[in-house]
Amino acid sequence: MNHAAAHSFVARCLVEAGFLSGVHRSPGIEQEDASDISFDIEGIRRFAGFLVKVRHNPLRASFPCTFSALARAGIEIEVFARYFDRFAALRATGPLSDGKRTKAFVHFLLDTLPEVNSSYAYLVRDVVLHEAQLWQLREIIQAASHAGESVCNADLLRSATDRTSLQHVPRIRGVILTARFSCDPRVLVMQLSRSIGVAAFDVERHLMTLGYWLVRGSDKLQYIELDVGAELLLSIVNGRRNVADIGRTCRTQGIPLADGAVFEALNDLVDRRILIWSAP
Amino acid sequence: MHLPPHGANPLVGLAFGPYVDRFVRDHSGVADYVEVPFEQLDHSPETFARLRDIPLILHCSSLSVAGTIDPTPATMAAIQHWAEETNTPWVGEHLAFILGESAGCASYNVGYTVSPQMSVAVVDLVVERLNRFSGLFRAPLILENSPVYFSMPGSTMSQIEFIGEICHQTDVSLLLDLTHFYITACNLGFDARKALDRYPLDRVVEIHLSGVSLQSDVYWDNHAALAPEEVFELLAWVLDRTRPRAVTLEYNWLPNIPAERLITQIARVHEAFADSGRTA
Repeated sequence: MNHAAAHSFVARCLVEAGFLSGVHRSPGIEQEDASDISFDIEGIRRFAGFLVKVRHNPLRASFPCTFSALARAGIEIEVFARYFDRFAALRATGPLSDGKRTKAFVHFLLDTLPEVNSSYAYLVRDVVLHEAQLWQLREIIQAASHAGESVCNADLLRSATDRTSLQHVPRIRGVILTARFSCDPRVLVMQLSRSIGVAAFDVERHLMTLGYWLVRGSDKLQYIELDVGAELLLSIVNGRRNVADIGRTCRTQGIPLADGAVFEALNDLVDRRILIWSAP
Repeated sequence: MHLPPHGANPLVGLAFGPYVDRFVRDHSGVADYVEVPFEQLDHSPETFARLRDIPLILHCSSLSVAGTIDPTPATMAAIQHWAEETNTPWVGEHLAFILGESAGCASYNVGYTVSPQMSVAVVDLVVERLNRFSGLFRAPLILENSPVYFSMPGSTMSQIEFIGEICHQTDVSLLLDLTHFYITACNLGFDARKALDRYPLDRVVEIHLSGVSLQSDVYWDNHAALAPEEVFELLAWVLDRTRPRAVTLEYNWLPNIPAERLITQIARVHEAFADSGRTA
């Protein structure tokens, strides 16, 4: 086969994701006439994945352990090869901001990892989710405007039997993002951070929900382990819903909590200083 | 840039990356030079100001030397400009193609170097281009061996035969990327050390070292990992037989590497010189 045609075919595969997908789905279609010449389409597909990986090197600053974890799980090239189609379509929409590129990549990983054949895929997912939470918090801080808040006298809110307390609105002190993990991602990330190259996975399964909490006015991130109830309440608290609203939302979601119980649970979070009460 | 005399111990430098200018500033005299990509300077000229205080070697991935499409006059002029500005002793370019012909006016631009078809026709093409480019830049062009990740239809030569024939027909000097060579040997199933016996080592003026990753049953270049023991063993073997002028550590995909690690790696290369059997 002449070199111009060979180079042209390979270059087209590496530039046009749709063309590569088509050739990959229909092997032999690229064969010239009836000759035996055929391209290593799987090899080209993997190389396309390698190129997509290299194009995501700038994300290593925010997702260093994600890259390390993908490599450790042995799925790095395969995952990026699968991303080629979607990434090409994204690039076709125009210049990519760092935020857009990052979000697209994270969503792709969280969608794809459960389908990848690797016994470590669930750990990689935890690492991705952990680093995504941290990245998202940094984005929120950069974009945040600090709204004023009125804090009411806590003495008014000691009793769940006081009907007026049900009108009070809990607010989160700062920003909290929550996510569920199959192990403690902080342990995973610490292991991955200690190596340059491929580090070992050595972590026990331990289902947990972690809150990534940035207190308003502080740049110190706090991790809080949450139970299912606290996670649910924090997902409903939005600075506008009062206790009664929150109770109604819980019951709508199939959690049969009376308003009094909702109030007590929220008060626990206030005692932990995660929430504050504000007047209706 | 002042090169050591022939036969003396080579200089040891770093490929440009996010942390390199800070490392060079904070550890003056540890690295002898920085190898900077032409594409980096062309896209972000302010990079040059950050590297004013250290000698530079210019590295390039834009000439598509083994491809059928010539670089544009603008690209040639820009390379010449930066060759002048950096006072580079040579311009390292990949023995590869980047552009492929398309049926329309535009070409397929892979944006990354691809190992070419290794055939008489491509040897002729490279030789013609080297002869044509000779003297166009203030510094000579040297050629870097590409890693081979998949077979290219129409290839009739091994990579060593291919490079050897180009050397036979020109006086081109070489950049021996030992990691690329090791990867090619692993992927194609030959003994790297035995093959290096037939390599035109007398033409080698620069050596590259970087990490390796095994993913999806293929060995890949990995500038986010340190060079493995096998590559350092090849370095020792080569230094027993020839004296390049420079050895570059390509650890430039990471946002940061601990300074102590870099210092240790640079020292290790110096030790390899000291331990080698070849006298100055």
